Amino acid sequence: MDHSETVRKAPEQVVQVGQAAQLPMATQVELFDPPLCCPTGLCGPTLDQTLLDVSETVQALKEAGIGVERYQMASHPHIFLKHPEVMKLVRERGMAAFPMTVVAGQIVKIGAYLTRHEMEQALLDAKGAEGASR
Amino acid sequence: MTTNTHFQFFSGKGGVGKTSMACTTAVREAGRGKRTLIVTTDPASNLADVFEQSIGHKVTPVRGVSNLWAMEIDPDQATREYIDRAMSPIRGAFPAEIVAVMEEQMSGPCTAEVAAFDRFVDFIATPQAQAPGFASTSVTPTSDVPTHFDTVIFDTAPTGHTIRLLELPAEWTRSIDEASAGSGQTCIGPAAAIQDARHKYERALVTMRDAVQTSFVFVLQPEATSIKETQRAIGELEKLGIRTQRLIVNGIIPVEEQANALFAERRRMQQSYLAEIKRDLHLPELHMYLLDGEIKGVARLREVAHLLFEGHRQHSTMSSTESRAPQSISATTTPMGKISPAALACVLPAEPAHHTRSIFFTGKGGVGKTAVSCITAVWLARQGYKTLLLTTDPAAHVGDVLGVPVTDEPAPVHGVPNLWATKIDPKAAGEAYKTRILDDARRRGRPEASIKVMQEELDSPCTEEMAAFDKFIEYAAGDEWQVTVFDTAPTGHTLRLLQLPVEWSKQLDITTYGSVDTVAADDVAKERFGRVIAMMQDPEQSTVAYVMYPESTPIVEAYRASEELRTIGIEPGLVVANQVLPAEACTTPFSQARWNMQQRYMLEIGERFAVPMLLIPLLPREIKGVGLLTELGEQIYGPALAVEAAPVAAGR
Repeated sequence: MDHSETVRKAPEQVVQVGQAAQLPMATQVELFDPPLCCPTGLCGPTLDQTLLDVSETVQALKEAGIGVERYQMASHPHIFLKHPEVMKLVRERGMAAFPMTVVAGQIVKIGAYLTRHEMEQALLDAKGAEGASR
Repeated sequence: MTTNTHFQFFSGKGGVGKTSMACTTAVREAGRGKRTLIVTTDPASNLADVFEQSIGHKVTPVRGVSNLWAMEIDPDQATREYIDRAMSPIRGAFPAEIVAVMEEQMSGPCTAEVAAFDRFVDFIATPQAQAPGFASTSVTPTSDVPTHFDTVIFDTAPTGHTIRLLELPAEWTRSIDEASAGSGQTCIGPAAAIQDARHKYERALVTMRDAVQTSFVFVLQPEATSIKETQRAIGELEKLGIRTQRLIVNGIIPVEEQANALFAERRRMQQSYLAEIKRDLHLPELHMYLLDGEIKGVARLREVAHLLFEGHRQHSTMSSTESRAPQSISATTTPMGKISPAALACVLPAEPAHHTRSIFFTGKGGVGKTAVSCITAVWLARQGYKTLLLTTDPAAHVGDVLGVPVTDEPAPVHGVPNLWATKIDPKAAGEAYKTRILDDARRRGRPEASIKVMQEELDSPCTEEMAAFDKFIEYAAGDEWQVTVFDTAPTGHTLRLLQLPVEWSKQLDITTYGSVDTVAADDVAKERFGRVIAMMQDPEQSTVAYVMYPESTPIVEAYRASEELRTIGIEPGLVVANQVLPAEACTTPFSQARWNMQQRYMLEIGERFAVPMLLIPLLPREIKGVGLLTELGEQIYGPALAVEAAPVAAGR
């Protein structure tokens, strides 16, 4: 953990950010959304609390200085296409593959979003894996 | 390059003659050697009727006028093109199943509005046919379509609400760029799908604000509601930095027609409103007189252009505006015949009165839907039915007609027991909807930062529409009233409103991702939509009444609307012919010519709609006030009936 630094934004959140000096806003978390009208689903006929939770998690991660991107097929098709693993799952499982969460380049969950806690854990795991491979 | 093109927007309340005046201007411009394009953004377009040729969703040369082309933006086709453009990088790369879901989702109600609007923006931001990204659309240059127009005329300018869409992408991009802000998402629905849209919208807005390149023309009639609405719309545009340059006052009764008592009376009313227009709107005016027939065909348009721009008639300086309106309308009109039992059955609740009845008055803008709704509601209330009069027209003037304030909460109408009135104000409904959702989010303990994001996303035109629709469903599904009379917005909007339950139901069917509580909420919503759909399809519970003047375009528009609603199982119940000239009032060649024209169209109404018809005579003055509404109700529906109405619950 020599090269890492600890970012303290909110007391309940202690997140390790690797090599922040080199890649200040490197994208560490990528969310591949199912087709949605808008990321919070607020413009549909009913409200989905889960989507609001996700948007909140994304918000908190960004505030903690972690690069998070959300991709929709309609607006970012090229990102999907650039990601062979993502496309493989899309072809194999179709709709059931969504949503997909990629942390540090690894697909960590498909078919549902990570909770805030799972997300933090996944980031720690990714950090650990990175440290181990060094 | 847009620099050499001049844009003219024709705006105004429905039925004031926007299309006629826009076409007249187009013929005029083309006649002066300018390559002219006239575009309509009205989903219920009448351009084809006026030019007497088919036009459709492509730039089409107008026969008989060199230098003139026309196009009717078809919202359905615009939506398909829009989806095609957004989907082109996706098709082929993604599995068919996913492509199908995305296309379904993009066919949702929000896309239609954005797409038609986007298509319209194409003309301002990139009028050049060969503009990038244009190749796949129908403006591809062909041998008979020029690549540059000197003048582009828009029949039906976008409202403030639509122009707001132009501003959104700019705000949206700005906030995304502000990395520190972190949030910055405004839901513009499927508009987000096309990344380069924002540059296009920015250019369009700049053009519309530039008074050198663009002029806004308002068409109005010398009548209170028309003036009021024009004033409101001018103010709305001003807030967006767009100035109105000119007025065309249409439908002025020529001075010679004072020989006719009915027209003389109306003319007196008009003169005071002409003075009001001058005083309150103070903009340059062109005057157009009421003609003895319709404005149709190229030859007629040339004649009218001459009248409008050269003004062969002297603007009368007659200033006798002293009000001597007769106390009773019977002085100048006579009953138009007895109402048929079939027509009556369409407005009364089915017996036994355990069902409520919903009556939807719809039709082209300006045909008198509000007046007919008020007459009907007042009459029904006087028969003892607990009645709610509800307007869904964002530019509602029910309050003016009833002579009482109408708010977004149902309130008793003073002077008419059993009658309540309310309006659905999309802005207010949108605010209430926003507050409800945000309060709920706070109760669930969401942090302020996330509330802020939600707030931004909710700040979208979709929200207002969603919320207004939600309110509509609430009233339509309710059983608090024995009769609900819906005074609806002009045809295009109403069709959307009536079709929305079906469309949203479909959207819920294809919801691809949902947590458990969302699935439950979706089921509740679907059940509610389903009930409303079934209610609208049942003639025992609902009546869709098409209101029209006995003239070509209002009939065609009502007919098209009825055909469209038929496709979702809603049959027409009633037709209302408004402003019918009583034969005995037609004492001059001018009025006789108009009477003849009306009689021909009355036959046509009968042929096109095989449903009962109600007749409402042309009156010497505006329909206003409970007294006149009561009198007219009895003239049209008959005197007080011996109705065994269920006892009305006291109060609400």
